[in-house]
Amino acid sequence: MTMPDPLAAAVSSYLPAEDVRFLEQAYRFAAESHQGQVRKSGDPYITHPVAVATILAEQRCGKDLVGAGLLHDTAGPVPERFGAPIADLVAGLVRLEDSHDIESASDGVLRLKLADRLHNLRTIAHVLPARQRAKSAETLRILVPVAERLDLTDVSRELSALASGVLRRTPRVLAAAAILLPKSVRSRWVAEWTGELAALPTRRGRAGFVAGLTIAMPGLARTLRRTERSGGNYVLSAGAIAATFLNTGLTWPAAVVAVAALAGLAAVLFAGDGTAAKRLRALIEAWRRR
Amino acid sequence: MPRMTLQTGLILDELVKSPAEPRYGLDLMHAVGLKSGTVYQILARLEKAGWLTSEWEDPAVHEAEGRPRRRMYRLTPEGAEQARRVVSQPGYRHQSVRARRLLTEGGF
Repeated sequence: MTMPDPLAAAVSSYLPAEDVRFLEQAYRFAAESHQGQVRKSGDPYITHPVAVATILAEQRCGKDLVGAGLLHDTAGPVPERFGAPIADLVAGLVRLEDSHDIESASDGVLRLKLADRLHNLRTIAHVLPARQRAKSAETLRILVPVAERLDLTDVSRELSALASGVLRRTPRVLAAAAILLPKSVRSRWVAEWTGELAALPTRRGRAGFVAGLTIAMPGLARTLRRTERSGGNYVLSAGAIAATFLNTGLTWPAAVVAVAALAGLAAVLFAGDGTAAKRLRALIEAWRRR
Repeated sequence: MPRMTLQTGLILDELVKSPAEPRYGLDLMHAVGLKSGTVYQILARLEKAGWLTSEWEDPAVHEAEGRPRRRMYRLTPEGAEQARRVVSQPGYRHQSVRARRLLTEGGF
């Protein structure tokens, strides 16, 4: 069992052979310790410590810090044969995660924490959305400034791009409801709301904001469409739709059934997966082009 | 002439306090105590009527603060004049006092 290539290549490029052999042993211990464990993504767990160690090796950190990257999630205390510095780094990381006390953590522990968070953010798609937001907000508030202070410009840039990407994502419900808005102004409103959402600190506040907008969307769509056509046209097109229904000779009970069927169709489309909104949108747009 | 509701009056009242200062939706929601759907619908209606203009804020500002850009709204000269007229009507004054009490006491 030898270290995977990117890590092996990174450490051999700047560390003496002796240190590489030492890290080889740390890797073997970590791989055995995480045997059978998987990440939320389904990948073998060892991929995470290896990625963290690789990030540290790319920063040309010493063997102890890279070793701490490999051993930071193993169960129990770090075995004595790996030396006190690694044990201290791992213990320091655990303390930092309990206390959130950045000030009393050493630079080594902070670098370890940054590498750990960087890989976790790179793979955050597999985590629940609420947790994604919490981790991203914490990253921007606390860890990006730490990376800047330690002059880790690349790390700070990547962390802040990944975290703001998560926070600036439009909630699916909102994106689906916004289909009602005229296409020409839709992206403006969605961008405006997504930005405001990023500024709301609590989950409850965001849920209320999205719910309020979703409920008001038909009214807002009516307001905005009136700017695109005159009121008269609007009434005429409603009349045209009504006339189409009447021309088909539908009686009122049949019309009720038709509306219920449409609602049912919408429910089926939305109950499925994430692409449902896209499909409904395609349907509506196909209908509008007709 | 946009449809004048009590909520519209409350928003105009807030805007007319400092007509030259640009405001954003979330800020108005918190200042007036109205829900998101209500506020954005009113903003859209007032903008359409030409009482408000809106533009994206200066990228230098939001990038420095590390947050997404905001859409900023400001009363037009006509809007400011109309807003002052609306909020000085006795009917509005009377209603808004009651509404504020309800909103601040969390009546709904």
